[in-house]
Amino acid sequence: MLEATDLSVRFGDKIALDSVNLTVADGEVLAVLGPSGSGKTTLLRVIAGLQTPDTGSLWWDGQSLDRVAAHERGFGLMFQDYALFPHRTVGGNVVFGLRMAGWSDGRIRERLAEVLDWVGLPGYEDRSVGNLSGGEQQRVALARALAPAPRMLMLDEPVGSLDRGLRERLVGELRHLFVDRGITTLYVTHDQEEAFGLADRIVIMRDGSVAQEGTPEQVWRNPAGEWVARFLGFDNITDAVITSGAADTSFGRFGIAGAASGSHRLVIRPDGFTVSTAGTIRGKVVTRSFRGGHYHLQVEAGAGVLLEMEIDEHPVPAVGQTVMLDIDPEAVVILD
Amino acid sequence: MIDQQPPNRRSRVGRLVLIAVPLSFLGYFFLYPVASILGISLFREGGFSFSAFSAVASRASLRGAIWFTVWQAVASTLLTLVVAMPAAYVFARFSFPGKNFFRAAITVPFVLPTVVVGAAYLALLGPNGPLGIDLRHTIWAILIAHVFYNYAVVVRTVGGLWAHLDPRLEEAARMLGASRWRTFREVSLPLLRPAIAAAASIVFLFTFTSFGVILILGGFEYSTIEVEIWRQTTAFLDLPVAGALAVLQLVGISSILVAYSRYQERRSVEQQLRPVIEIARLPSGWREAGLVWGVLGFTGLFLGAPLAVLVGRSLRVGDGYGLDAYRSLGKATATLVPPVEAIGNSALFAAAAMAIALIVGTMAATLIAYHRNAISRSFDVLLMLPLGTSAVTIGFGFLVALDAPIDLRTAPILVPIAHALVAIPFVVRTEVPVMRSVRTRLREAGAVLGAPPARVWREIDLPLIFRAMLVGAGFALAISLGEFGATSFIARPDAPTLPVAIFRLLGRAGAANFSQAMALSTVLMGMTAVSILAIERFRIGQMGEF
Repeated sequence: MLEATDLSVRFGDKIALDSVNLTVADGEVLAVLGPSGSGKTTLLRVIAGLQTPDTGSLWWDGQSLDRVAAHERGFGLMFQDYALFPHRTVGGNVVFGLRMAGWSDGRIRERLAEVLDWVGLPGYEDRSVGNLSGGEQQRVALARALAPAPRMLMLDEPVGSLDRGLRERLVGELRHLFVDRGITTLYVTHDQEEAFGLADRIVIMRDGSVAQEGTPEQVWRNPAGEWVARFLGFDNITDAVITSGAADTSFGRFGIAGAASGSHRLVIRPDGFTVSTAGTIRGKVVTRSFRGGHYHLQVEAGAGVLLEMEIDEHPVPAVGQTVMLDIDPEAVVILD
Repeated sequence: MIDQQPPNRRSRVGRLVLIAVPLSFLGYFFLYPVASILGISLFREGGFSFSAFSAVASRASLRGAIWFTVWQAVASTLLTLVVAMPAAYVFARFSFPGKNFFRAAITVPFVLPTVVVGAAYLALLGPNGPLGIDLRHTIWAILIAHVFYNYAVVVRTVGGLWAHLDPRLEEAARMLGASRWRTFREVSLPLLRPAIAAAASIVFLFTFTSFGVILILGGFEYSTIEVEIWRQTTAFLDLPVAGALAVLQLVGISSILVAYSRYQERRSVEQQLRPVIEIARLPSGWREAGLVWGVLGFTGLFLGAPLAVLVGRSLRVGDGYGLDAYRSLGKATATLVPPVEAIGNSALFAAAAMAIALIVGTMAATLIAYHRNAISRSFDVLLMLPLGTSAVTIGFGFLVALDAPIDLRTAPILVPIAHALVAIPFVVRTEVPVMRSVRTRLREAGAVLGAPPARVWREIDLPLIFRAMLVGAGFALAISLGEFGATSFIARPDAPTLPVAIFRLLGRAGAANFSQAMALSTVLMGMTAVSILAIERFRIGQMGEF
């Protein structure tokens, strides 16, 4: 198990990491999610031993890592731009860590075939890395990081530079690989779909600090504060006065779950709306766009308030139509 | 990200050696001779005196040489830029059959010995040349030879950057209504400015210190500062005036070098060693095809003709052809050792020069690439100085300085040392960008995979640098084989190098001597071409700065 306590890193005036605490349990897939510049890559580099923290400590199974050099930590790291050695073949890249660890030639050969098989590149041993496609490079980098059986695998935006379709397929494959083999994984990304699709647990970072931590469901259901809500793409944020289980807002009154009362900031998740004659919110459809499984609507309600919603039942109202909306109390989250 | 490792004693000793060896080499064989030149020009009979400089100022012929040096360099630079720009474009933007061969071939003139270029143009533009015009001792022969010589500098430097420019920028300008010419002027040209400035600096420096070409093609009518230094020393034995001229030339060169070095520093961003995305495409339509093949045809004719004529003349026997000139190379003439001995001398000197340049240059490059601070930056400029300090000045400096504490002036090792001095900047310039471009990420990847620092250097840095070292070695060989300016001062009469032997032969009357000069030039050209082929073989993409 990895434990990090109070990690801080400054670059000149800029605080890249601000007393971050973090644990990764054995066999767990932890995603570190945040916008660019939130310190997630720095966090990864500190854990890898490539960046010395100004304060804080790292522990592995209770043993301090602070004086252990990067090459002695036994962690695997897959770089954002892969950092494949241009002067070595695919095989030469993949076995590099095994040679460093002093494996015998026979075991190295076996292992090479094995990990290339895992990543779906059997027979690629002698290819030059210069002629690989982006997806193939990504797989070679993954194989290289996995080959020495690191006690923890870290990935820095591993699919960030690939196109969307390939990205989605690879995220699924990665999840299989980590879970099937019980690999302890720290996965850094700025893409929430990736993080939600992959991780057992998510850490959301903002300006070098941890903004929220929890399972994907917890984070999705209860974003901790307005910033996290907006980062997750929840834009229906409003002031409300709550009395006896219902919220009063500038665009109407609707029921909420929980026993809070008084003035609060609320977020309504976009999946919480239904079009219903029994609804309490009146609004006019401003835009409508088809998103595959559902429609995305913008509905103007009250005085210039635009509500964003995902509607999947028919009939879907047309642009310009006035609708009555019902809000699922479970989709309303109190932010403060 | 800079590695913040605590300095240990081993790395401190290592760095001291890295500084000490190149510094003492440059100190004794470069700074000390240059200081001696300064001394000879500024002190007379124990006292400080400007008399050498006033002598330069008072003589019309010397004032004329200074003025000629400047204007022919400006004219040569502008002419080279204009003539070579279309080829830079064609090589950057189009792919065509035999492109790699063409690219290697156009580099050949740049590394050809000046004496060979002089000899080739003597054959092409001299009396009995195939064109039937005699341009010897005219400015035109000099300018054409200079463009010939520096064509590749512009094509490779400007074209190298041009190939990296995203063509969509130009397309965007076209879509916004800019004509082809406007697009070139307002988009391509500004983006190419760093490369154009760099190419212009290099061409200006080379033509500013032109020696062999002027000596052979200019006759007595035209002489540069460089030629005058040589003449004042060897013909008139006026060392103070030669010293004053060398000092004036150094001042001129230093100012250009400082500007050039600034550009280099600004341009040196961490680059990736990945293959460049190939944006070159086959020409489409008759206009593009015409442009590509027209430019290639001109290039082939312009660069190929003098060399073809040179080889042709070396094979001419009376009205027919034969190997007589080559056969006669083994025979001693009245005042010369057999010309064939010069081949052996040159090969030996080149090997020694290559070894010295590689050892000293790699040490210096390591210091410059891995320790980026004020010391390494000034070291960078110091190392560039021999490149700008003309070869003649280096030879002249050896002559006036190296008689004490031991008289080295007649030691054979002096020749390869002088050649190494000229080659070291090339070795450094080839290695430093590659060393810098070994991305920190790759070293980090090695460390994360369990390689300790020394192993990282051996497994990741060294293999990537090794090719650059081979390229540097190729440059050193080519430079040493062709070096003429310094060698003309220090080569012993009984041990001439190929260029010295060729120059001597060209200076003697008679068709037999001329044929022998052509034959020796052809041999020298062949030896140089082999070194260049080695460079091309090991060069990775646009690696290095030459």
